[in-house]
Amino acid sequence: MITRKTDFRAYWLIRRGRFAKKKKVYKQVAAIVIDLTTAIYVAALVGYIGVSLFLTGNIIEELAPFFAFVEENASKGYLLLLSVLPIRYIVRSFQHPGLLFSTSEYQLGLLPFSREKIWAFILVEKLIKLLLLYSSIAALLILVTPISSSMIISYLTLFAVYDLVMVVPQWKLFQQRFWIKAGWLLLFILSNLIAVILETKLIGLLQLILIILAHIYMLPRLFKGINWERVTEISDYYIWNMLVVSKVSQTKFKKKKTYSILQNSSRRKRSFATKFSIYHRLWELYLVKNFGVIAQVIGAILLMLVALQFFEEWIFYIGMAVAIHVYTALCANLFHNRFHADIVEVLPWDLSMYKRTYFNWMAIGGGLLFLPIFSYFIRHWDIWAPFQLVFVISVFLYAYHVNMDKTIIVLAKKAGSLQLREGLSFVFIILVAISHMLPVISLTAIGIVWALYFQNGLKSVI
Amino acid sequence: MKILELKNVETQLGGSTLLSKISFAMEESRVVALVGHNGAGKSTLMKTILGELEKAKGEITINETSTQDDDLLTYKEQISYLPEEPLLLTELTVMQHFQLYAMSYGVEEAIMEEKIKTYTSGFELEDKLNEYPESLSKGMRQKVQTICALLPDTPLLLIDEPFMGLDVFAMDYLEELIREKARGGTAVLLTSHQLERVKDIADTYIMLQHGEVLDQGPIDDFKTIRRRKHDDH
Repeated sequence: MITRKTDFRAYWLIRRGRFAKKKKVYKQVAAIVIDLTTAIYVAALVGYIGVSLFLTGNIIEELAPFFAFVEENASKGYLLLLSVLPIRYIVRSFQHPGLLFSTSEYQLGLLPFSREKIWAFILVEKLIKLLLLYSSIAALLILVTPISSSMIISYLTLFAVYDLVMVVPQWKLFQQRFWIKAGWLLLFILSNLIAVILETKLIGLLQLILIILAHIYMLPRLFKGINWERVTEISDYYIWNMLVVSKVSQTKFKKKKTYSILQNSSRRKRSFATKFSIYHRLWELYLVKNFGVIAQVIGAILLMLVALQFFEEWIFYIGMAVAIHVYTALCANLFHNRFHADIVEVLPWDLSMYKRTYFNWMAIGGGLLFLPIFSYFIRHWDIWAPFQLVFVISVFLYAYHVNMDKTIIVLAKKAGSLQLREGLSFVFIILVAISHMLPVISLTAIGIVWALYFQNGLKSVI
Repeated sequence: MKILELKNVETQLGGSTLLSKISFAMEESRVVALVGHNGAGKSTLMKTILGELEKAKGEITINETSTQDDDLLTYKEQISYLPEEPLLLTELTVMQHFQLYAMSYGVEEAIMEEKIKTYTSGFELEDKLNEYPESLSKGMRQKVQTICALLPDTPLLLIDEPFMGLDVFAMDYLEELIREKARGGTAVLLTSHQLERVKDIADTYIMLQHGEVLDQGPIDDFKTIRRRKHDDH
């Protein structure tokens, strides 16, 4: 009969072999990249600088106000983080199963070893690694910074607790279709907005309790409806995609091309009815492939906008300006790269049509980012709030079109310059950052909307 | 009229010069065979003409009017490209690929449907229109890519290894289609290692060696390609 000890031995054999193989590869890379003598001198220099700065120097005293600021806001934001953190794992579930179950572990499950136990071993290993990581970070922060150890430990404990309780939800969510994941993401974003508007910290606690209770439903169904091909493909990629090795060897570890369950729907196979549907499908395929990057950027901006609402007013306005700049730059960058990917690269480009159909997709991301902005103005409602909102939306649209038109000039290799419009875009973004001081600035929204209409036609403002 | 003209084109990548002092011209209705040893620069030249690889020097003109540097969008509309390896998207069906090409080149729907019917019949793909590329064999994927490239009527047709992966019937049919394109005024630049077949189709040849034009002239004067000067090891 198969005993627990044998399951563990089989798992440990896989893990030892993987470690030995990676160690061998890293050694080869190190032999190419690192010179031992130089490395010793660099390590000594870094150590000397570290000791000078942190242990014998007065840099800690000089940074004391900064650390005091961090500690004060950290204690305010603690319960807010409780409600925001699940969003990170939901976003990750679009691309990551939460637990790396590779082809090797899957093969063990096909042999007479318990797949459930293998899964549990992987989870325990992950938690041990996290514990070691958080302990090291805690020790370093306590040693080096004047932030109270209780604050550091409570924050790291929060992260550790969420890393533990979100493993199963992320694992199950990963298996779901895109729209189910998007639905849960929207639900959690909305609950956070309600928490922000009502200024209640209970929602975060309720969320955590519900997530823990949901395990009663999810655990018995842990291996039901699992797309093992996709799980192992993604896990293999994350395990073996060693960044340093890729850079040094100039080779990329690519994910295998697979297609989703939606592929087999007859609706997806139908001939395109209009050329708009062709463009939309091209954008959909491209953006889904790049969803990881998009979700990370939008997720980071969202978290920033939600968190900054609890800081001084001027910080939030700067946050809005940063959000506009970063998001419109992302839109332009993705647009540019689309024409250097796959079959589109070798085809003629109707750039105006591509831009027009692209806007619908970018509006979705932009719409998400405006949710915390709307909630902020609702909480801080005054006579200027509607003008401020229209102003921020107008600046976003203007910056978006300027970035896009600049990208189109580059793609088409046309002569032309957008210096004036780029300059205006920059000025408008700065005005967003300072408009809390002079709300009358928001009346320039009227001018921006006119400028947009004049440049791009009515469609650019609706 | 010169459909394609290259003047002193040079292409570099990662500090290495892949193509150097490439100059030649192609007239309409001509089929030109681009030949050379492995690594001579044939595919690189195709990609440079297409604009997929940035040229470091020189000028490329189509129809004596559109240059790659001044008006890339108009330039791209005048070239159709059949790559060595199919570039099909796994998420689009065969028919959807045809529609994508037709839309990109402005081919009218009625003409597109007529051509699809003719070509899919000739390549025996009539029953595969609703299939995804993943469910087709390699040869069938190549046929789909071939049909995509033949749908538009462009002044210039670039074909990189047209016969790779095709069965003998498909090769004969493709040969016939290339001749038909040329009769219709299209200038065709093709590369192939199947020299005997190329001699039957082409009017002239250009031989590349180590990224430079070694020789060019009427196809009847072409004997065989030159070996590389140095071995790899």
